[in-house]
Amino acid sequence: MITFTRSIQKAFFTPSILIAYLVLSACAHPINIAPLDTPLRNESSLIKKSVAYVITDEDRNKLVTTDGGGGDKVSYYPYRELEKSIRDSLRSIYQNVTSLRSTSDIKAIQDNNVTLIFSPELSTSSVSNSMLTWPPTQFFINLSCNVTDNEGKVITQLRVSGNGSAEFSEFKSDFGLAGRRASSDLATKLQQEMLKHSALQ
Amino acid sequence: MHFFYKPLSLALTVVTLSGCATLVAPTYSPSYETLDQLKKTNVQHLSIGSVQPTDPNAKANHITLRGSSLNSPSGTFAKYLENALISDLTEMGFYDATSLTRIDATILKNDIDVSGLSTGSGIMEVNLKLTKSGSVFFEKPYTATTQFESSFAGAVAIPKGQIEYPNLVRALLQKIYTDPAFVEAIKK
Repeated sequence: MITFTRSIQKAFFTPSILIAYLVLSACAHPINIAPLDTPLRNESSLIKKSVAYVITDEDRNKLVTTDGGGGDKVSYYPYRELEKSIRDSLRSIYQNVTSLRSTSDIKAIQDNNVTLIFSPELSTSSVSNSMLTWPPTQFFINLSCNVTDNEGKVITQLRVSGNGSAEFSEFKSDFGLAGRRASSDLATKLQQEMLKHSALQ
Repeated sequence: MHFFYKPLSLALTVVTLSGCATLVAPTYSPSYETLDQLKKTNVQHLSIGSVQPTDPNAKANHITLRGSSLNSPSGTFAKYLENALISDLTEMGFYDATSLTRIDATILKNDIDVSGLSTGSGIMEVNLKLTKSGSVFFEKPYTATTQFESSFAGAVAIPKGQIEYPNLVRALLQKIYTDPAFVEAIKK
């Protein structure tokens, strides 16, 4: 009888585990990593310059997959979701901020009197210390940003890292919480880094 | 090792997400290119009047993703839309809370559907009104729909539906901001 029961269990349980594995291993869990908070804009202390940042359509549509917990993966759109972090950091310092699709968009650069162009490159990673839940408990973002003038001459390069962490009790209604905290951290650190560079004032 | 604990993780996730979980819609993020285009136009300062329905129990303030509730971080989806409008107008330099020219909106439809096995969809419909000193001078309904890749698995489909909400609101507001009739109506 025991052998029969075990055979039944094996017959149904093993294929269902295998099917679940095959279905779910083919796709990553989607999360959103848009920032929770970004630096505030104080109209009275802005630098009276018009600046631009470059995010191409290809970057905006770039889907990235990194590690979650329990051997699972998570996916998100870093450029699309971090655009607010980058833009709000710039807007907390400069009077006018515009988005560009390319550094060679001469018409947009001239129309907006752009004097500085920021070209961000993002890399991300995530981990989880949980074997039982998939949302990441730690999230890391590295930003490398070339800053050029309106003729393409390099002014400086900025490098900033943002980190965020979240526990299960916090992320059960917001699976990307660690990532969103990392995005907020990145925005604050980018603002601080820009203020350190005299060439950007 | 990976093979053995993955099913456990997935099983727990499915249990967590399949019936009683409460999810929060991510923060709204606009189409900045659209805002950058519109801010070049010489536009009147605008205030936001009321965005309806304010009743948290109204149908437009309820979204369910395979049994899990999707909630607004602002309390209601009407407030979510109101905050998105204020944020966009502020970004473009057009917002003035005391302006007599104001935008009012009523959400007529608001839903994310992840019941499909491979495709999900979103729909949002609003009736938008512009008034000056209380008199309506522009009124138009706007509808936005979105489609996204979904999954048979709830552990993928439910978070897909969750992260779609800001995209749906972005699509709706982008439609409004690029409508020549709306732009003409708000010009100085």
